[in-house]
Amino acid sequence: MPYTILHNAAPTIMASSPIKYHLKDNNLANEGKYIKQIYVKNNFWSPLPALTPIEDKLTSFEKALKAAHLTQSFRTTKLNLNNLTFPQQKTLKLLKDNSNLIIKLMDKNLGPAILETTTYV
Amino acid sequence: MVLKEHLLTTDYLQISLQEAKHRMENIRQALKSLLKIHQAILTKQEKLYFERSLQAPLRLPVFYGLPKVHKTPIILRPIMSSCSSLLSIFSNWLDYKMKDLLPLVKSYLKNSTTVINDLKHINLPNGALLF
Repeated sequence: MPYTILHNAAPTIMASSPIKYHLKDNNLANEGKYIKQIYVKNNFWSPLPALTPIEDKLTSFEKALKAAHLTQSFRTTKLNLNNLTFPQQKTLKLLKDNSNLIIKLMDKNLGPAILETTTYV
Repeated sequence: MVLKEHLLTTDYLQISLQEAKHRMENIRQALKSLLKIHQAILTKQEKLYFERSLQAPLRLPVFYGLPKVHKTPIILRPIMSSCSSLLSIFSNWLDYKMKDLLPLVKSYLKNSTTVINDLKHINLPNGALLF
């Protein structure tokens, strides 16, 4: 798993437990007023920390997860695990950087297509 | 193709970014005043939805085309992406509200299971065909 995904997912995992406790403590868990379609997350609110033993466990879990991932990525970065050969990667980069060409997704989800920019525009 | 077949036709009018933003601001103010007038009939969840959605950063809708390579000559499917735009907030709410009205439409079918169950209760003569 790429580190960025894990890095972004970790706070969500860590925040889910305090939210659960906040809802339970305030008897909001079974309110049933949650409407998925019109729910917008409040970005200006964060729950109070859960009980200290739980927070400690969560922190140690996060540390262990990051350490394990770091060890794993250190082992694999030396190996070339890319499924494309170096010339293939270079060619793709050339196509991507060429301003005369444009790469777009095709209709009917048929994959990517390369068109001349003049044709597309 | 994007310009010739879509944007440079009579269907679209080119305006400056500044004018686009100005128009969007006018629409925002108009919709906000509508919300203010009718807030008494909105539920708590709906009020929260509008309050939080309108605080979030919004973007202008974006036009692009998806090439249809299975057609000759190649043409584009025009897409107007309105994700995270001002109007999408209201269209999403409208979609939510209109779902309550959907069962009132005579041809409304919830799902295929409902159709099968409904058909089981119809008494048809032998050899009858359904279209």
